[in-house]
Order: sequence, then structure tokens, then C-alpha cells
Amino acid sequence: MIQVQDTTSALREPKSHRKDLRLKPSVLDAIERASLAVGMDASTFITSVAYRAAQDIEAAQHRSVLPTKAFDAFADAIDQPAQPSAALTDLFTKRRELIADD
Amino acid sequence: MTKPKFRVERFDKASHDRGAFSCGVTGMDRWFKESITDQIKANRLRVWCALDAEGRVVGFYGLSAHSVEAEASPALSRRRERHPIPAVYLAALATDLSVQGEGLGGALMADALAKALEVSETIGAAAVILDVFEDERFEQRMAFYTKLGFRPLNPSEDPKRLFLPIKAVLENPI
Repeated sequence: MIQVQDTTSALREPKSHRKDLRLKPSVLDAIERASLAVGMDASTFITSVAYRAAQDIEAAQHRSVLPTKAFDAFADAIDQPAQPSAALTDLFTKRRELIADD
Repeated sequence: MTKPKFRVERFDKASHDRGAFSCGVTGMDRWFKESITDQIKANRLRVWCALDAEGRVVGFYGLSAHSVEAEASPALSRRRERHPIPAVYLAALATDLSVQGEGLGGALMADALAKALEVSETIGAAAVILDVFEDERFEQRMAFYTKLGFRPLNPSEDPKRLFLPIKAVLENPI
């Protein structure tokens, strides 16, 4: 059986707030089918999945986690000597033209 | 040379009115107007805004600290070390509809890269990371960043997250 972790169960807070959602019927059907398939009620399912997504999104601003191959390619790329770039030179020229120095 | 039309200041909600700003992308406008205050207060993010001669907010970008890490890999493997690598994350960048086409977006991108270089020179950061916003102008944005030298951080799984080595910025006169 596929499982979804109840990601909010460890939070020691009462469920004191409500959030009403307006859903397309087919979306609600899909959510209810999936929540039944993992043995959860729809409310817990929606909350758990959305809370996990919220955590992932906040973390993604501060952290990129890469498979080893991609990490090694990144580490190699940042160590390579760089060449002057016409596109970057143009960009900094535009900055000097448009933005006043402090 | 004519006098620059804009100035850039660190965003402060008490001094800078975001109310009239619109870049034409709802998600980006909402990010600027509704999402940043808590992050700034918590010292997770800094936002810099462009002001015109009348002091109107006509552009912005956001920067935060970032770490690039190897998935489930020991710091020291047989082949090489895989410690987390510090970077600067460009959280968003947009210009107001009233100034689009004037080159301010590119100038703000250069300003953001210059700030990233300052960070790199102060505490160390090896790259600038960003996520390309996906809408009908996605290809245009991707072409712009690719021309600047950005490339995908994890091409097979997340081709929209790009990086530019800080060395590429260092090689160009700011």
C-alpha cells in the first residue's frame, strides 16, 4: 500500500484554524480517491501533502541537493577558469548607464 | 553620458511603496507585495528595489544565502571531497510595466550579480543560483540567462534551476 506521512502530526498545536477551498469536481474526486488509497481522510491528506510542499519550497530557496554526478559537474564548473563574456560586459554597461552609483 | 535614470536602494517597507507596482506577472507581483516582509524580518532574504526620479518603485530583485549539497554522499569520498558549496540565490527579479523595454531588467540583473560578487568577496560564494520563472515567456527568459552563461544545476531532474560560476562575474569589468 502506498503511504503518505502525516507531516503535521508531530506539531503540538490544536487544529484551531479553518481554510475553505473551492475545487473543481474532478480535482476533488482525484484527491478523495488518492486519500482513500493511502488510508487517510481528505482533510489530513491535503494538509499533509501541502505542508510537505511548503517545507520543500522554503528549503529550496536556501538549499540545492544534487545527485552525485550533477554535484561533481557543478563543482568542476565553478573551478574552471572563466573567460570574459560580451553578454556580461553589455549587462554591466547597461547598469552603469541606467543605475546611479551609491 | 546622460545621468542614470534610476537608483537602487535596499527595500524597506516603511520607505518604499509597492502598492502601484505591477510587472504583468501576477505571481511575481504577489511575491513582491505579500511574501517578502516576513522573510526580510527573519533575515532570510534581502530585497533591492529600483526607484525612478520621482521615487516610484519600478523594479526589484531578491537575494538570499544558498548552499549546494551532494545527495546522501559522504563529505569525503574515495575520489573527492563533496562539502556543501556556498552560493547566492537570486529569488526573483522584475520591472514595472511602465519601464519595460528600457533595459532596467538587464541593469538590475547586473546589479544583482555585482551584489553576489560582493558577498563572494566578503564571505565566499562560488555561484549565483536562480529558478527561471515558467510562463509564456519562459523560452525568452531561458535564452537570456543562457546567453549570460547560466546553465542547469541538475539538467536531468530540474532544468529550470540555473547557476553561473562567480568566476564568470569576476572576469568582467563591473
